[in-house]
Amino acid sequence: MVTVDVLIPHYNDPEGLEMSLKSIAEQDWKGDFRVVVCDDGSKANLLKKAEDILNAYDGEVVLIKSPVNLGRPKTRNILLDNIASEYVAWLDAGDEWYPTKTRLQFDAIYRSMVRYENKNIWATCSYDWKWIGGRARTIQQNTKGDQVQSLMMGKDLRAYLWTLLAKADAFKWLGKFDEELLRLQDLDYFLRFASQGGQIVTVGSPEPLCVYHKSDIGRNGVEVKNCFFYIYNKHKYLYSQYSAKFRKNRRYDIYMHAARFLDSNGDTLKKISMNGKAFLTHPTRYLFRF
Amino acid sequence: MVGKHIVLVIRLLSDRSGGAEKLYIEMANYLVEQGFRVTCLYYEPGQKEPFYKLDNRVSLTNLFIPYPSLGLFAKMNRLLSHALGERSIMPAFAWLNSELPFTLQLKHFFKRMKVDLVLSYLPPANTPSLIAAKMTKTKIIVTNHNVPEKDYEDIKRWSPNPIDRFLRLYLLRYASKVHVLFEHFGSWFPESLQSKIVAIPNYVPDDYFSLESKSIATKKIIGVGRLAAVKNYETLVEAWAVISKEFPDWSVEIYGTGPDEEKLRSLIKERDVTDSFFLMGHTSNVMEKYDESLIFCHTAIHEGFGLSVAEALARDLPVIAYKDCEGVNQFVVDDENGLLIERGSTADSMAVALKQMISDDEMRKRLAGNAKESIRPFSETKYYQKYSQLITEVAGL
Repeated sequence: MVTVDVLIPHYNDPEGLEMSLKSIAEQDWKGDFRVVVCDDGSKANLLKKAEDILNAYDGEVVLIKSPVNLGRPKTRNILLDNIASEYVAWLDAGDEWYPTKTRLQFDAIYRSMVRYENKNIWATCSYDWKWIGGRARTIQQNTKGDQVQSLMMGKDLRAYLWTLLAKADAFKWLGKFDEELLRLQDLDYFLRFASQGGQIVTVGSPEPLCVYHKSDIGRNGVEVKNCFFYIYNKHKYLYSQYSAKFRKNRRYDIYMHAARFLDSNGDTLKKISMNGKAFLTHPTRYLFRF
Repeated sequence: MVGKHIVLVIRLLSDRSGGAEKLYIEMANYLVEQGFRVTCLYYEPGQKEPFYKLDNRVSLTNLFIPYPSLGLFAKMNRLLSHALGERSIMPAFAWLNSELPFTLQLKHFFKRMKVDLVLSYLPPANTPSLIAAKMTKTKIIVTNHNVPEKDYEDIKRWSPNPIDRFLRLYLLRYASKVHVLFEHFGSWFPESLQSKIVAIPNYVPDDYFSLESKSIATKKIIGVGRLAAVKNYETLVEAWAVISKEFPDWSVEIYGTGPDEEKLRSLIKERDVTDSFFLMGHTSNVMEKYDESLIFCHTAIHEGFGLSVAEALARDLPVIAYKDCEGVNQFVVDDENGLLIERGSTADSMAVALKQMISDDEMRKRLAGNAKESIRPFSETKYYQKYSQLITEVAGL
C-alpha cells in the first residue's frame, strides 16, 4: 500500500489545524496518510489544544515540537528530515484539500512518469483563493511553456507548496529550504526545482482541488520586498536569461505587491515610499496602471 | 562529504555524443551516487536533453542568456572591423561578446549557490570557469581531454581568437589542479604549472572485462570512431584496396557516423572495395561488434585517449595503429598487444601490417592473448579511485 506523508507546519492555529486534518480524513484516495506536524513553538495553551486535536485524529500522526519559534523555513526543513514514506504532500495549518485532490494528483503523477521518465516530478493543481470574509476565486496552474519564467511572473504558475504531491525523492533531491528567507521560500524552492531539471505537472482538469484562506493582514510588506530581492540576486543567473524589460517588470511587480501589503496594514508612509520606488522602476507602467 | 556541492561545467551538452560529454555525465552520476550534491551547468541555445543518461538526482541547468545584454559589443565589433579592417582591436570585443555572458553567469552561480568544488570540461568551458572561480574564490579542477599541443596550440581547434588562446593557458595558474590524460602529456605544460598537474587516464567500463563473449568471431577487421578527418579512415580504405583481392573471405567494418561519410563512400566506390568494406553507421551495442571481429584497426592521426582502442583490447582484439598516434601509443605496445606502424606518405605500411596480421594466425593469437591484461590498469575502479583522491586533496571533501 502506498503511503503519503502530509507535512504540516503549525504555529498558534489549532482551529486551522483541525480544519486541515478534517480535509485529509475526507480524501477519497484509497491509500494511507501519515500526518507529520511540526509545531513551531506555539503558546502552551494553543499547543495543548493542537495536541488534543491530533490525538483525536484517526490515523498515524507524528508531532514534532520545537521549544522556540524557528520560523517557517526551518520548520519546513525539520519536516523534510522526517519524511518516512514514498510520497509527500504539504499542507499548511488552516488550508484545506477538497476530497478528490490526492487521487487526481496520483493519476497525474503516474501519467507523467512515462512522459518524463528520467525527471523528478511535482504534481500541482488548481485551487481556490479565498479572502477572509470574501468570495472564493479559482486560480488555474498552467504548467505549459517555460516554467521558470511562469514562476517568476507568478501569474500562470504560482509557487505554493501546499498544492503539491510528489515522490519523497523529488523533494530530498532538491535539498533544504533557504533558511535566510522568512517569506517567499516557496518561490525560491520552486525556482530551484524548475531550473535544475525538475518537471511540474498539473492535474489537467480546471476544477480547484484545494483552498487557500488568504489575508494580507499582518504581512510585512518591507520584509516581502527584501525577500524578493534576496531571491532575485540569488537567482541572478536565471533572471539574466530574460530580457531587461522582463526584469524591470518583475521589480515593479514586487514594489506594487509590497505596497498592497503595506496598504492593508495601514502603513501609509511606507506605502507611499514603495509606490515611489515602483514609479522609478517603471514610470510608464505606473502611470498607466489603471 | 555528504551534501557538499560539486559543480560540473561544460559548454555544449545537448544531444552531443562525444567522449568528453560521456565522461562528464558519468562523473556527475558517480558523484551523486557518492552522496554529493551535483549540479551540471552548460551554456547553449536550445533545450535538448543530453545524449547520455543523466541520473535524475543531478541538477541540470542551462545558463544561456537568450537576450544578450552585450549586443552592444557585437555591434561595436562589426563597426570596428569595417572601419579598421581585420587587424583591429576586434578580438577583444569578439572575446567579450562570446565569453563574458557565460563567465558572468558562472560567477553569479558560484557566488550564490555555495559551491564547494568546480570540475570543468574542455577549453570553451575552462576559461570562463577559471575566471569565475578566481572572482569568487572557488576551488576548481580543470580537465583536458586531448593532447595539450592540440588543445592549446592548434589554431584549428577551439576558438582561433588570440585572446582566447592566450587566456586558455595563462589562466591555468588559477586552477587548483590541472588534469591531463597521461603523465607524458603533463610535461608539455610550463614549469610553473607542474605542481598542479595530475594524470588520470580514461577508463574502459568494467563490463568489457567481466562479460563473457556471446558471439563467435568471424574474419572481420573492425574500426570504431567518428567519420572525421582526424580519424583518417581514407588510409584504411586505400590499404584495404591494395590487399583485399588476396583475402576474399575477409571484410572491414567501420562503426560511427560523421561529416566525412559521403567522402568515404565515394572513395570506397572508386577503389572498388564496396563488397568488402562497409560503413555501418551508429551501433548501440559496440561490445558485441568487437566480439564478432578478429582485428581492430585504428588509423587516427592523434587521440586524447583512444577509448575504442582500449575497449577493443579489453575484448581480446589485437590492434593495428600508428606509432605516432598519442593517446594510443601509451597503451598499445608493438608486438605485445598489437602492431605499431610508421606513418608514411602512403597507405603501404598499413597494408603490410594488415596482411601480416591476417595471414599470421599464430602471431594474431599471441597478441590477442596479451590484449586484455595489457589494458587492466585502465579500469573503471581505478579511474574513480584517482578522482576521489583528487577531490579529497583539493577540496577536503
